[in-house]
Amino acid sequence: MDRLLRSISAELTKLKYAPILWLCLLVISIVTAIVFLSCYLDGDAMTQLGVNPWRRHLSAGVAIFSVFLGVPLIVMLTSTAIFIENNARGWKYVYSTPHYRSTIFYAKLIAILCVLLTVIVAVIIMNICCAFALDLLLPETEFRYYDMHLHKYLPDYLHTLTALMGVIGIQYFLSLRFKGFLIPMSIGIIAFIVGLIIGSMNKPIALYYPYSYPNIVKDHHMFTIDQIGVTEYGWLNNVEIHSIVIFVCFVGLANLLELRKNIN
Amino acid sequence: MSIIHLEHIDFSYKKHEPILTDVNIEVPAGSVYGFLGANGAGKSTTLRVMLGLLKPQSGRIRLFGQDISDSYPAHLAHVGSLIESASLYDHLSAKDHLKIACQYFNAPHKKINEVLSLVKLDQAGSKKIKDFSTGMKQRLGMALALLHDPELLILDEPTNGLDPNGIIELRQIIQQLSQDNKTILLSSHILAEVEKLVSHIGIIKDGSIIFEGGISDLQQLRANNMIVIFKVSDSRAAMKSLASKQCKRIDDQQFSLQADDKVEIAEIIKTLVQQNIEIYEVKPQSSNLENMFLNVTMHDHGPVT
Repeated sequence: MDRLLRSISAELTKLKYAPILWLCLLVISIVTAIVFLSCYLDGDAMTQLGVNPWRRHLSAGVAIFSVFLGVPLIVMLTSTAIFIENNARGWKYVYSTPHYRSTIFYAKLIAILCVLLTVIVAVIIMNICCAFALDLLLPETEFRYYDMHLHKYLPDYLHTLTALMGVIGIQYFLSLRFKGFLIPMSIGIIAFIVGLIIGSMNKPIALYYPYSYPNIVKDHHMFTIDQIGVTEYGWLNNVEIHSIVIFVCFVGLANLLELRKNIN
Repeated sequence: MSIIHLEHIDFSYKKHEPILTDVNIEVPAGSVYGFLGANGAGKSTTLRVMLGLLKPQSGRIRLFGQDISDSYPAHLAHVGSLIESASLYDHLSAKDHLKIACQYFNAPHKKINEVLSLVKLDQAGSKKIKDFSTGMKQRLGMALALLHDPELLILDEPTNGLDPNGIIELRQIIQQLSQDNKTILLSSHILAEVEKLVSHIGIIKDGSIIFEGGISDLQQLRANNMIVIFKVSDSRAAMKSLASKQCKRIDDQQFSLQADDKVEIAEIIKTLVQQNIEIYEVKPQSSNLENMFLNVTMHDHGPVT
């Protein structure tokens, strides 16, 4: 456990000042800006008498992140995190340290998940700050008069993260298989666009296409829209279970290949 | 006791294209082992196999007396390595790299300034790697290899990119480390530099070890296989009279040949005199390691130990 923690710490240090961190800041800013502007420019929609404005406001942040920015961020994050190692020809060094290859493999994955979680938390915090700013600029939004009930929306963020797990697994696998970042990034972006199209078609095929899962899960949990047969199994639904299974399969396969890899 | 023991290592990336064939290496504790070979001979591949970066098809690797499959990865805590160029991240500073190494090797952070000063990078600790020269990168690679005070140091072409002063300084560091009873395996194609440092030598050619032993063993081998240059009145005629020998013509008056010992040289001189060829000079080739190395690698005899 100590070795894993030290490896994670090393991986996070490597991401310090990496270009991807600026991209994370950009994603947080874009989500915040869109939510702010949509509320600021359409304040009337926010001010429905007797309706808590927090629900619409916080759901909008989750929706924008999960549908439009979550997948591209994961594609960039995984590609860049692995590219940093490839570019530095760092594998020969990290695999010469007294750590199992699996430890380094999972440390990298956990570091990527940590960055992603940090972005989600930052999106939530910025959304709340944005609501208070709106309340100052547009007092009729009445955020101050209602309770935030943040705990009610946190599961939405967790469902979003679960829906993204499949994409994380696939992209991590692709990034390790290809030396450059262009191929995994291109595949990821194309798959994301296809996912948007398939997701918007509301066809059952979307249940088997991991890049459309964030869209399906968002519709199901936040807007209770379901036209393609999402089934609940306790806290999770079948789409989220698919996502977790895909994550486990691709991460397991990538780890297996990594253990057998010769480092030139 | 040997610190590194490779037994019958075979390695290939593709079937029927062997890179290493039956490689046997034994590096004694506390020695400075020079690992020599032409480019593409298999030096870096052998070092990568030692570190577990490449998995051999057959053979056994023992480090510190233990099979590496039994001690993996704990034994790597006692190994510092620099394989070809250093693995460095352009967006980080030298200190960031050493902090990362501290995390990997569980080394105390106070060692950071110590090793930076050892490789004379103490003024550049906060500088980003993208602003480093090749020589500075190589020094930082050395610092990374030394940070956790390893018992065994594996250095693959460590002088790559260093200027003459840098090479001298690196040589001093290696000498200092060998005095501290560290075992150092040093591969290099700059033979003159190895000659001044090593106590033991291994020579690899086409993926096979063709010589291994102490530096005195190599000198003995050279004495038994010396190259002699003859200056005579007519080199063509002389070579014709020595048809049974493998002579190499240098110019109209000079040729060289390989002699096993002094008795053979005396016989050659006698033959030339009998053929009325005037002999002006008989000169053994200078005895530096480069010539020894060329002598050994030029001839296809089997492993000599």
